[in-house]
Amino acid sequence: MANTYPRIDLTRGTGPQGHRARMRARVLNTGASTLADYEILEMLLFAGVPRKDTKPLAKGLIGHFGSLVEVFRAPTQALRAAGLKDDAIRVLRLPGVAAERLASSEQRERPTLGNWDQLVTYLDQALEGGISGQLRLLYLDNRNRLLADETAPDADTPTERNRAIAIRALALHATALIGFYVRPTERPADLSQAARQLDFAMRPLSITLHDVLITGEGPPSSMRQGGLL
Amino acid sequence: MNSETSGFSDAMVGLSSGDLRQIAAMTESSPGLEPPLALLTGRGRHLDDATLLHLMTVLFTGREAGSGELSHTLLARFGSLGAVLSASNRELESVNDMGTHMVPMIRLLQEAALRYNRARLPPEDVLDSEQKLLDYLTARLARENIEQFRILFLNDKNSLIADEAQARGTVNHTPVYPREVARRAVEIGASALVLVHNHPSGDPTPSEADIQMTMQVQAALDVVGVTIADHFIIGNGRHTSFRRNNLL
Repeated sequence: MANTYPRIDLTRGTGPQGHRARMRARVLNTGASTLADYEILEMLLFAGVPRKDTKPLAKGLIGHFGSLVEVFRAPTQALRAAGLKDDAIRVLRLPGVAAERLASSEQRERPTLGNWDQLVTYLDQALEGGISGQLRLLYLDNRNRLLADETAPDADTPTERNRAIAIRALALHATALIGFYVRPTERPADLSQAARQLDFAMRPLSITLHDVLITGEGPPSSMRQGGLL
Repeated sequence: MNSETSGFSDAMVGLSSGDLRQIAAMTESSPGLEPPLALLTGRGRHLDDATLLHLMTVLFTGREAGSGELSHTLLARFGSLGAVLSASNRELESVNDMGTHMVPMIRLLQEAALRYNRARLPPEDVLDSEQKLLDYLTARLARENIEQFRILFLNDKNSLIADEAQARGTVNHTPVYPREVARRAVEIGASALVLVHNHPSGDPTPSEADIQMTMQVQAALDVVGVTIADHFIIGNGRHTSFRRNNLL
């Protein structure tokens, strides 16, 4: 799969690379909201400054310009005078423009997936850059509006995976699911049992598995229509 | 550093003569060079989402190769830069060729952007500019797929002293306990609160439950001498102000 790299544990290093990997892992696991302002800046500079320890630079910039946001808004010449190269400065310009985009409304409404046509239309866009072999789940509310489109959680057994899916569905307050396999290598008949298990696992929680689709060459096929669910 | 332009406007007044010469030269040379310069000099707000996503991807992955494709996929999948920044880790991880840096850096940029929006609130009186307040609340809540409740705690000058997420919603309403709100307000020493929650449907019309809950919270706060400055419901590009609608 294109997203997995050979497992090298960079978090064991004590050098800057180990530190950067640890901070990225921390943000992945617990989010960025608990980071101090200087840590936000330190990590943004990972993108603009290769290899070096960026913490003293971050603290120095905030000390000089007064605050995190004042660093983001500082004049280009001043940031260059502080020793930043242009790529680092570009990274520091991103939060301001991202702030503006986040403050504006969303042009695209969350889609309603109440019938086959709506679903196929949605999948056209959803399959962009899809990872072959993945099972993805569409979590829907009680009006079949899409709440989230996510890869199925990793798990060692189908039971554990269904548990993780249920937990996620409950967290999203989803009342229905639609699954789809992205260009699977397995034959549809071999995927049938997993789909049925998921169907039954969701029922006690009043979560309906509408269907599981197989995508690949040509239009998606419905496991429900194929009698496989 | 003086910031008269305390908004999203082009605040980068400090362009060097070298930058100005480069900008002048841009009119003749390839337009492909302009976006990096625009971003560099703080004029990135003139760039569209596709261009910004491409620049962001190059910076976060550290390479040009593949960045065009990846940023194109992100835009096709999520629809906007704002939506990419608001997508969950699991949603982002379902995109091919993300590598190991993109997801944490996107989370980081989202947080940095939220702090940027919060820093735009007038320090002396956050109610002084409703637009800036709504910009911040929209950035926080407009793209969330679950109903979430948030409280801004203000002192007697309406300065922001704390800003906290509260409960996440159920199918019908968000469980907010008036007693807990009052307790926290007293604990923080707030004089007034701004309540806010989102409607993931995009429609900010208050439900009966929203109105009842607000009245209950107000009654509890009355006992301890704290007021509700306003209650906002954030939809998609629309919002409701309880105060403006005489619901407070």
